[in-house]
This record gives sequence, structure tokens and C-alpha cells, in this order.
Amino acid sequence: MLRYLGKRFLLILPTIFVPLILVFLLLRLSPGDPAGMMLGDQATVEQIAALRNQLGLDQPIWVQFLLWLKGIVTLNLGDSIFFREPVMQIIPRYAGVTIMLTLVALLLAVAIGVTMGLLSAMNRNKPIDRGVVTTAVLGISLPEFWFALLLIFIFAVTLRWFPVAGYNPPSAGVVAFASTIFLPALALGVRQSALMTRMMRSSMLDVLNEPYITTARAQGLPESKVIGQYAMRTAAMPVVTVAGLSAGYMLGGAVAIEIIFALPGLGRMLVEAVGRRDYPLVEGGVLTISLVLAVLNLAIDLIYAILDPRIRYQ
Amino acid sequence: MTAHPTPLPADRAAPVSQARTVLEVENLSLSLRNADGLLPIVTDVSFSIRQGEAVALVGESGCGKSITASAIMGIAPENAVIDGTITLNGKVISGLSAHERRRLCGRHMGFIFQEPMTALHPTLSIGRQMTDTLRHNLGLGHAEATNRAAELLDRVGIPRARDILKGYVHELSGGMRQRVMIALAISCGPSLIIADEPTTALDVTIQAQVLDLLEDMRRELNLAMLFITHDLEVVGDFCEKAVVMYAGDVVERGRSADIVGAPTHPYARGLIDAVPAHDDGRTRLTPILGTVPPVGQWPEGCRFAPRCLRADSKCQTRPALERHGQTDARCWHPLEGN
Amino acid sequence: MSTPTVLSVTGLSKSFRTVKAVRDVSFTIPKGKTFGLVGESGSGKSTTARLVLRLVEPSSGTIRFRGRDLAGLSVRDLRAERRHMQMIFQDPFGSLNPRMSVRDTLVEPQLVHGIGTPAEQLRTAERLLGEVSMPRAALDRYPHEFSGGQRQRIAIARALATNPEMIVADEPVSALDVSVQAQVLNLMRDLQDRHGTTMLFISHDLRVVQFMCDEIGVMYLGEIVEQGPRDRIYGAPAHPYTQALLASAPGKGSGQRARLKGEIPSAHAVPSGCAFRTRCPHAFERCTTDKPAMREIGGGQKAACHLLDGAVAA
Repeated sequence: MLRYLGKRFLLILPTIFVPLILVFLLLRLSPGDPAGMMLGDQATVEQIAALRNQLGLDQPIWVQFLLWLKGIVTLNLGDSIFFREPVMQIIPRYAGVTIMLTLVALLLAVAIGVTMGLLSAMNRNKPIDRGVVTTAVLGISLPEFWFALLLIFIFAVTLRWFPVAGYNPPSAGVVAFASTIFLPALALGVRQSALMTRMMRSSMLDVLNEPYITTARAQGLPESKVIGQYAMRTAAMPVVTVAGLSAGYMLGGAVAIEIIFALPGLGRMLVEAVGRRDYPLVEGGVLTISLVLAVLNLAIDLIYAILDPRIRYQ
Repeated sequence: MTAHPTPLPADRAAPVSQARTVLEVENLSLSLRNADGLLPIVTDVSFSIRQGEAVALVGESGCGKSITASAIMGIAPENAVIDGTITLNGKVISGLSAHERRRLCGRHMGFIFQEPMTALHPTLSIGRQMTDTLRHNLGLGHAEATNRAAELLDRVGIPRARDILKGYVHELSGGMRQRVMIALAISCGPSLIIADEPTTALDVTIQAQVLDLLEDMRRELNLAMLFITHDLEVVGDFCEKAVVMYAGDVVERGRSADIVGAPTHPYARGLIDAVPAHDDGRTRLTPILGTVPPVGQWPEGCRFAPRCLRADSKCQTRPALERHGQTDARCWHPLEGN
Repeated sequence: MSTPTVLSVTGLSKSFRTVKAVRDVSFTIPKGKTFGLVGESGSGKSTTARLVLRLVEPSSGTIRFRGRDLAGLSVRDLRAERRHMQMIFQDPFGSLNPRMSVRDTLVEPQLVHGIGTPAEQLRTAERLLGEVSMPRAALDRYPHEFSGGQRQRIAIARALATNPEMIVADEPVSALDVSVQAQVLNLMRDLQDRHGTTMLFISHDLRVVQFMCDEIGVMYLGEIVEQGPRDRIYGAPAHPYTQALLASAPGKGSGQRARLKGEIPSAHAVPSGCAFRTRCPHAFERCTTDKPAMREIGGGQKAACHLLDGAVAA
């Protein structure tokens, strides 16, 4: 088991590095000059050159790359060009929000997906099954941002159950936190929950036909145990896979949701930083997101290994 | 041999003919309800099994033998409509819902599957699967159940039982897996074991070991056994009585020695002639012409008539199951002995 | 007058990394005869069948087919040789292309080997169907419309389409019901008599092998442990494994069963000396240290067992 996890852990490195190198190159090779943008239209050529020198932007690319690599290894990602603050201090302010949002959205998606999928599979071809399947198709076709606006309109503006925008961190209390995270998480997760519903349904239908389920019933075990433990254990595997993919999708989709709900998250910060050509901050943001994704996938791998002992020995 | 973990039934030494009847099936019919109405799958099946006795349900694919067993256990498909009487240990269970019948499984009926690789849960440990059933059916605590499971594995000839309990199905060979299935089936002390082609998927030498084991368990625990198979030679070796099925009907019933040695129904005769036997020096086998009619396309009257060389106009009405010589046969023109 | 040898296999071996699937297998098949390979799981009989057809590359050994060394053939020559060796598989459901009509299935081998004009190919297809007792109307149908036994007949017809010298049949009737099995076995005997086809017949079912084969090789863990004419093998088996196989077969009555203990060892770890010693009721010290050589017993029968020392017939 440890060897398996160890191997998986080593895979984190390429997962993080490839996007990082791509971002490094893309930023440097795209048009636009951060120094010029920061100083504005009135800046003189000398001022721009001085700032560029100060920021190390006049060095050849491969020198910049080596300096940047050195920075990664020493965990010094440099200072944000715009904020004039170390990147390592800026990121945590925003990262927490995005991680929270993604986690809650994932949890909601899994909870809804598994429940609906199970209900559907157990009542195959009955009205409730058809209802769930139809709803799932609608859910998959739904753009998250549109759904977000709809949610705001119904629940925040009309019913006033939730605030329209803003963010309360968990430290502000469970209720306060929940009130600001629920709608965004729902908006972000709804599409993924529809996917998971469909996956759970088909997976469960397959599993229910397997001989080991018949054996479990033939042992006289209660149906709740047969479904809840024997069937779920194998049926859950594909859902876990989808959850891993969903997490990645949601991390990316968080941007739109953060903007709509005015959440101070990484996605929003990243979009603005790209616009400003704030290289260090962009790189820091991408690194963080890659890291979060890699850790999440490691967790998924761990869940696999717990659910299926055959995987541990590979 | 360790002390028996399961309570022994009454008198083990009593000859089978005086033993009590464990399972009695009378006029069992099963149909599947679909959009067009009722589709008969099995019609008018009757047989009984006494304590310590093994009865074979023999037939080729599609004859209805497996679904008959699933009806007894309460695991038939949801749209199955069951008629007739099933009595287990003196209590009529056919009146119960399938769900209630299923609850008798484990404690009163044990089941052994054909493909042990797929019949045991792939990702739960062997120990977990065994203790789950012991704890649910016998109310044992975890430690007690684990000990009992280890004893059972030991008894079915699995070495290093404690290690195997922590292991998983895919780590075991076919013969070992089948032994685990047997241990699981007998674990809660049932009086009836239903084995559905338990050795078909195994190698010949392993098959022999497993059959030996089943026979030992049967004698030791005085079990009644319903043995489903398509292999007549296994029937002859292992079972006292046989019930031959064809297209949902019982076509012949009696002592297996009589059926295998001198069958009266032409189908049973055909099955025996179709198998290459060891020493008869034939250059050609005697097959049964034609194929089994699919469900829903059974002919009126005797279902075997289209393939039977002895059929005539009388066979257009369905014969009743009647005594002919040593066995019961459903035929207007039964064979006379050998 | 001796009949020509169609297939001559010498020292055939195949290893897949650590697994020694086939070890030093040798046998010959004269024209028009059927050679049976019997064995349980892990015996290597199916792998041997594939090696003979060069569907799998041997690790060592020679295969002489129709007098030519198959290993030495170029790709093009081998392809031409394939016309004379055809295969019938176990699974009647998997071995026919579900998208090809019966006509296409029967014409394709002729097309591949450039046999006949389209009109002739069609006539051959019709003739083949007649030979396997299938109606002409079957030409336009697809595999899923037929039962297992009928599909196997189509597979046999396909194998005959190029008028091969040799047919390799790998468990051709194992998946069929008893009554259908009898029909197909009779058919194979009839066709063999009519065409003089040589056959390599693989099966785990001793009864079927006894019916079909003239000479038999008994395989255990990758090697042939006993070989000889059918009546001698079944009447007076010399190797303890053959004896146990025959005694284990059902139909002998309970009293006569002499049980082999233990499981078949894994092909990853073949026991030293005689591979059968871990389960042999007569094993002694020499069996662990020395690998027994194949000894002639007389009448064309030979077996590899130390017990036969000093019991060799003149």
C-alpha cells in the first residue's frame, strides 16, 4: 500500500511542472509589457527600462527560467509586480476561498449524485427513475453561470434566504459561512452532480446483476446491507473516478462563479493577474491550482486503494 | 477434526428412507410477467428431498432448472409469478413473499454457485463475507464469528485459514474459492444446500476433490442437497435421486441409478447416448436431432415430440407424469428398460 | 507403407517473462489422423495450439509443417502457408464477426488467399454450408440469429473454406450442451473422413478426446508427461498424472476415486525435478532432484516418470 501511494506521490511532480512550464513560456512569449502597463501611458522609456531592469525582465529567457526554477525550489516565488508583495503572501488569502468552494461543491455533487443515482437504479423504469434521468439530462445541459444567476434571482433576491454576494469564512461561524457558500457551491456543482447521477445509476444497475449480489442475498443478508455495503462498494468506483475529474473541472469553473458571487477567490485573482501581465502572481496561482488538483487526485487514488484491494498491489 | 461448530441434527445413523423430508416441492410453476402477459418458464415440477439425500435437477440450458432453484430461495426475478407449494422442514414457504423466503436463506438454506470467481465479492475480504453472514444469521459477536469462520475454512480443507480470512477472492485458485463458497453455504447450519453446477467450471482433478468434500459435508451434517447439473455422470456418482427436466417440464424422475442405467423417457435416453462413453468403442455418437425449443415457443402437447423418434399423433396431447417401471416418466411411449 | 507426416513439433518452448507456459513439447501428426492434447488449467495446451499456427512466436524449438520449417518462413510465405492450417475456437459467440453475414464469413478466407472467382467462392460457400448441415438460407443471416451449436458449425465451415491440410480445434465443443456437442463431434468426424484432414484437438474433457483422437498427449504445467495411441493411454496409463486424471473423471462410481491432493502449482514457480511431484502419490527423493526423461513403454506409448525405470518393454 505504501509503495503504491509512494508511486502516486511521485507522479505529482510532473503534474505540477508541465502546466507551470507552459505558463512560463506563454506569458513571456505573449504581447504586452508589464512594466509599461504598470507605469501607464505617461511613462518615459527610461522609466520603463528601469522598472524592467528592476524586475529582471530584460534578461535572456533562459536566465529568467533558471532564476525562476531557483525560486520554486527555495519557495520564493518572487513579488507580485502589481501588488509589490511576495506572491507567497498573496496567494493564501485567495486560495482558501477557492478550495472551500470546490470542496463544498464536490461534496454537494457527490451527495446529490449518489443519492439520486441509487434511487434511480433501485426503481428502474418506474416514474421516479424516469424523473431522475430527465432531470439529470437537464442538469448536464445547464451552464453553471446561468444557473448561478437563476439561483441568485430566486433565492437571494426574491426569497431573501441567502445574501446576494460576498463571503464569510468558516471562522465567522457555521451558519454565516454556509449562507455565503451554499448557492455558489450549488451552482458550481449541479452539472457534476448530474453526471454523477448517471454514472451511479448505470454502475449500480450493472453491479446488481453480478453473481456476488445474488450470493449475498442467498446468505440471508438484509437488503439494506446488500445494497449499502456489498453493492455500493463496487458501484462507487466509477463514481470516484468521475469525482476526480469533476474536481478538476470545478477548479477551473470556479472563476465564473467567484465573479458572479463576488467571492475573493483564486480564480478571480488569476484572471485579473493575467490581464495585468503580473507574471509572478500568475505563476503562483497556476502552481497552487496544480498542487491542489494533484493532492486531490492523490486522495482519489487513496480512496481507490481502500475500496479495491486489488489496486494496492500494482 | 475439531468439534463441530454447528449443532448436529437428530440421528445421523438413521437410514435415508426413514429420514424426514426437508424439502417438498409440489406442482411448482413459474411464469414471467411481461408486456404481453404471462410467459411460462417452468410447469408442474414436483420432487422431494430427505435429510442426508442428494437429488439432482438435470437438464441442458434453458430447461428451467436454475430458475426453479431460485424460486425456492426467493431470489427469482421480480416479475416472476409462482404457483404451487414449497414446504421446507414442514413449513409451507410458498405462501411467503419472495422477500420473506429470502430471509430463510443462510440459516435454513445454503447456496453454492457455479463460478466462484464472480460469486464472491471481489473487494471485501473473505473473512468479512463470512462473518457478515454468521453475525446476521446466528447473532454472533465479531470475535466469535471470526473464530467460527476460521474453523469452517479449516474444515473444508483450506490451509492457513486465518491468513485466508484476511485475503481476497482473486488471491485464491478455483478449487479454493469453491471451498470457501461451501464453507459459506454451511456456515449457519442450514438443513438444505442448493448447489448450482458447483464443479462445472473446475478442472477435472479439482472437481473430484470438491465433489468429495461436498459428499463428506453432506454425510457429516446430514444435509439435504439439491444438485443442479447438466452432467449425467456426476449425477450417477453423487446423487441418489434425479429429476430430469426438458423445456420447463419434469420428464423423468426416480433413483439416479435407474435413470442413468435404464432410462424410460426418450430424452433421458438421448442424453446418455449423446455423451462419449469410455469403453463402448463407438465411432459415431447418437445425438438428439434438432434443438431445444425456446421459451414461449413450446409445442402443444409433449414438448419433446418434435425431436423424438418415437412420437406419433398421440403426442400432441401433453402426457402426465406416471410410473413406468422403476421411474416416473412423462411420455406416451416410454422405453422399456435397457 | 508409412503415411506422410503433416506436422512435426520438436522441443517447442514458450516463456512469457517468468511464466514458462510451454516447455520442450514434441510430437508428430501423420496425415489424416487426430492428435489430442489433454490437460487442465496451466497445462499449456492452448498456448501450444497457438504456437503451432505461429499465432504466438515460440521461444525455441522447431515446427515443421508439410515438410517446411515454419520459423524460417518469410512473412509472405507464412501467409501462404496459413491457407493450409485453420483454427476452430472454443467460444462460438466470440469467434464469428457479428457484423459479417455468413456468406461474408465463408467467402473471406477464400478472398484472402485468392482462391477462385467470386462465383466459385459463392458456390464453395454454399457447398460448405451443406456439408455442415446448415440450410442455404443461412448465407444471408448474421451470427446473432443462430444458436451456439449452429455458430460452431459455421465456424467449422469457415475453417474448411480453404481446404486446409490441418485444422487446430481448441476446445470446440466445451461451450455447447451435451446433445449439441454430440452433433458437432459427429460432424467433425464425418468431415475428417471425407476430406482426410489432419487434426490437432485440444480439450480438457477426457471423454471427448477419447472419442475424437487417434493419439493423445497428456500435458501438465507446460510439458507432455505421457503420449501414445488412444487405447493404450486410456487402457493402461503409465504416468501417475494420467492415472489420476482418468480416475478423477465422473462416471467411475464413488468408490474408485483416487484423489490427487493439492492444487496445480503456478506456472511462475514450476517445481524442480519432476513438475508433478508436489501432487504425486508415489513421489520419492529422486523426483525432486532429477527431471524424468521421456521413456518408451512400448506400442508407441511413452511417459516421463522415474517409476518407469527398469520397466521398459523391449
